[in-house]
Amino acid sequence: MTRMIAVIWLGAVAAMAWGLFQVKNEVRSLEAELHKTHWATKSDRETIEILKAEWSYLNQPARIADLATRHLALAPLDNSRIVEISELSSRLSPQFDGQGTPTGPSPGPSPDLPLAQAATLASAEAER
Amino acid sequence: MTRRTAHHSPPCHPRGLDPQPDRAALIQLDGAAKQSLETGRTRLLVTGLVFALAFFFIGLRLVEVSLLPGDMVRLAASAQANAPTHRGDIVDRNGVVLAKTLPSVSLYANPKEIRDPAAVAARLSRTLPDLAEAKLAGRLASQRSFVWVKRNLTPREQDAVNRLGVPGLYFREEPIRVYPQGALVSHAVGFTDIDSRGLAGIERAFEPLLKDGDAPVALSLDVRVQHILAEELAASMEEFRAIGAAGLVLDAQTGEILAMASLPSFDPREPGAATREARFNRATLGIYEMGSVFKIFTTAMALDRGVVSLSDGYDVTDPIRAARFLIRDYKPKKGWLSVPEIFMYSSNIGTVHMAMEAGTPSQQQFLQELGLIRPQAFELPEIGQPMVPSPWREINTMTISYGHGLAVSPLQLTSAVAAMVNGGVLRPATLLKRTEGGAVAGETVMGKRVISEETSAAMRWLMRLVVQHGSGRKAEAAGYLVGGKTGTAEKLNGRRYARDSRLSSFVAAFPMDKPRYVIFAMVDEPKGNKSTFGFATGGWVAAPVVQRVVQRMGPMMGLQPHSPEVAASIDDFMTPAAARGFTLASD
Repeated sequence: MTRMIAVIWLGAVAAMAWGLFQVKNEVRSLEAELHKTHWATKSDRETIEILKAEWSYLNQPARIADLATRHLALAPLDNSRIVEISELSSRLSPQFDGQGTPTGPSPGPSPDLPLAQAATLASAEAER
Repeated sequence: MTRRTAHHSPPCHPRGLDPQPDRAALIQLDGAAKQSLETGRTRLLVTGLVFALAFFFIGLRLVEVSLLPGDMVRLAASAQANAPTHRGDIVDRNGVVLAKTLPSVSLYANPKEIRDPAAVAARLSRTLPDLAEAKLAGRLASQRSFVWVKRNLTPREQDAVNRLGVPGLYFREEPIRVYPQGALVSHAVGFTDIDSRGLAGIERAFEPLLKDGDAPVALSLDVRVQHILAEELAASMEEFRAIGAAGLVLDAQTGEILAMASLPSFDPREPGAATREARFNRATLGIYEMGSVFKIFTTAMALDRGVVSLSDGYDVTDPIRAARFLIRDYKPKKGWLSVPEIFMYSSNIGTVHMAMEAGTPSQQQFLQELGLIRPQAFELPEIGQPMVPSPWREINTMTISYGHGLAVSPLQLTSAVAAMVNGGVLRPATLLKRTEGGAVAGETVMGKRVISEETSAAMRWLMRLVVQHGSGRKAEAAGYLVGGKTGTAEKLNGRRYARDSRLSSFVAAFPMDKPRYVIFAMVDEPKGNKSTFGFATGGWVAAPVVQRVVQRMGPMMGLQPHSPEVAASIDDFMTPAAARGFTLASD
């Protein structure tokens, strides 16, 4: 009986020891992984900060303006080219009405109408 | 014999008092053994208890660590990851980074570990060319155990130094403050010393907040507008060979500063390399006699206090003689001029008459209310103290009415002009972002009423007239209804005014029917050239700057330009009833 109990205890102790070492190992590897992740996070964060600063640096308006003049065929919009939608139809060729549907050779709605609209809009604007 | 032997045993005592082995000795012996036994048992018990307790706690801890979720570990880990490690950012209103702290390494040496300072210095100065070899050799030969070699190396430099493999050289992680927008915003943002302590601008004003890191400080500046303003001012400076320039773009409704330029500017990475002139913030720290732009305030005061009405006027034929001064007009006119005409053609004589009719106390009180007498309450530490005449005599009232004798900063002037055009409410100018998404939220910003709505409307009309027909015609940006006032002040050279060193300025607002932005441009000592027929006045120098700035920033800020017909109808609508139908004298 006593021997039986001793054997069981011994077995239990061996199992515990094995288990303990296993857990310890696992913890150690997890800790290493955690440390690595922390380090990677920190390094990524720093990289993001650096990239943000670089983004701002590369977006200096003077630099963008220089690049645009050298590489693009674009120019700042001339204010006279910004018109109200109501003024648009008077500028279109007579073949088109305000909705943009071709009306054929017959002239579209009276060109005076959109101008009148523009005037009402303007006065409404002025009252605002 | 046997019997005797049998009886030889000790006699039996009748009372049982038989002689026994020495009883006392036996008891004593017995007691000592027992005592040590007792002691042993007690010690065993105590030890056992201690061990049992220890194992109990170990078991408890084991259960806690293994079975219960390990909150403490996780907390510690996240705390480490989130700890603010550096100074906070400064960003513009759209989130563009203006100042940021980045990690970098600095190189230091322990001279005690360096055997041949001269050779090490030679190799280092070959790797890092900006180091002076002789000076470095001297420092490396010193008896200290720590000397800086170079602060804030680039990764490439660090790699090169590593490759040298010199013992006694070490790196230390040290943050570096970078300013990606460079000289563009250096006066507003300011700069720090090498240990990241703010020395100027926002960096200094918000030192405690920035030091704690975390949330970035969002400024009201818009780098795009800032760029436009700085570029146009620089172009004007070059064209007129001026010594400096300053400009401001202010949100008329909220007091936010969208752009603040002071030229020449400096590189915030190396403030020490810049001249004092370049580091000087002309927009807030500089105080100037502003010249005719002050007529805005004189006219507004006279109208608001009911001293004159728009249909009143004065005879401006004769110059005014006061003390040792002779007050004349730049472009003299003859006869009677109405108030709008006096303003339009910038008549000193007419304006002086207006101010004198209002009186000195009235003028003093009005300028005080506009915040032009005291230093402005503002975020930046660089704030100029206005130069106020003391005592304030009648002659001062006269000269101040057209902008001489009282020197204020451009920022003060611009915020006061914003109050003149925005409906009459003075709101403190700020460099911090107040509104979201550019939406006008003026009603939410507390302000102080300085003039009535009607006076403000009249001032808007008057300023619009200046651009339509008066001295500021060069500021007319098609479709944007710009209104403004020119100013040309002669600079004080010692004790007298120098005729050829001027300060040409223009203050404007647009669109004039409901002003969104107030723009101020000032060029210091411009010289006239052929294209301006030798003129270097505000109308020739500063007004075109404003025109170009408006033309460029208008579409960017989402303001729709009006077609000429619509603009004309709005101009008609803006004309006050009192001024309808009368014709203005032509130039």
